[in-house]
Amino acid sequence: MDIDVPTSESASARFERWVLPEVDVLLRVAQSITRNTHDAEDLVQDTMLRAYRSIDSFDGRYPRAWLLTILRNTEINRHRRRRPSLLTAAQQTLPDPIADGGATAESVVVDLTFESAVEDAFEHLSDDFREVVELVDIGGLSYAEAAEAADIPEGTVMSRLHRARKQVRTRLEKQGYVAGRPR
Amino acid sequence: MSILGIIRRHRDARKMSCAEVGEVLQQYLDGEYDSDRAPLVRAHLEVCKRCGLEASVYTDIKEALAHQVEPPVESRDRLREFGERIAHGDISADGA
Repeated sequence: MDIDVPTSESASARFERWVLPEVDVLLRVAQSITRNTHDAEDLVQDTMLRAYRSIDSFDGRYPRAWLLTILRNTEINRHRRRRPSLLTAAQQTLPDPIADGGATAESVVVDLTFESAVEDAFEHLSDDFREVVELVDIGGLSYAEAAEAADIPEGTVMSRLHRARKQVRTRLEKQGYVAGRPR
Repeated sequence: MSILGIIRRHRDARKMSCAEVGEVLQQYLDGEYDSDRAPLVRAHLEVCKRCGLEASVYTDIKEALAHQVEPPVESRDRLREFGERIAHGDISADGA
């Protein structure tokens, strides 16, 4: 990929161009990792500060993947500094979709039940599988970007992602949320 | 769609088997199936009820995975403001 980066561009301009548009994605992935809004905000703040410090050495390729790598490394360092804690889904507060408008109580119950089942299945994935789901489905990265962020081959991203979703599907099938696989 | 269009779609749908479509289904749904066979997959999914259903299951799973962590708007706003302040030099790189 050819990136046109003016050598005279300031760190602030680079930060505005590459980091600010990715705040939403960073927060979604951080929330997925930490399962806690407050910790997620802290993690994204630390990630942005680290990104700013290293922005001069960033070549402009795959900014989202670069940022998610920083985010993951930041999270690892945060855990090294404090006692690792068990993170549970119970720490997360669900939004109130009915109060937000546009949904009937029935549709919300159905959606939330299905989404809760998917979330539960996601929790049961191995760390390797969750990582690629976080990068692609939650972070919105392409396979190539996810490969860059996780430092694994693109084929590994693809196979782990597909197997992860199959595991989710199988779990949902056992719980009766989806029909059996067609033969 | 014209009769000819319907006939063409069914012909295209038969050019790939269910097993072949199943192998590339997730890649296709992710927009990563960069192949000249992609229109055949689309035609197959439109015509084959079983594969179409399988595609909708994976689409629902993918969407549910993406929705499961919708952060509060206030968090997003605070972080955008924090980012703006870094960019404008109001916060130093060490966070002070």
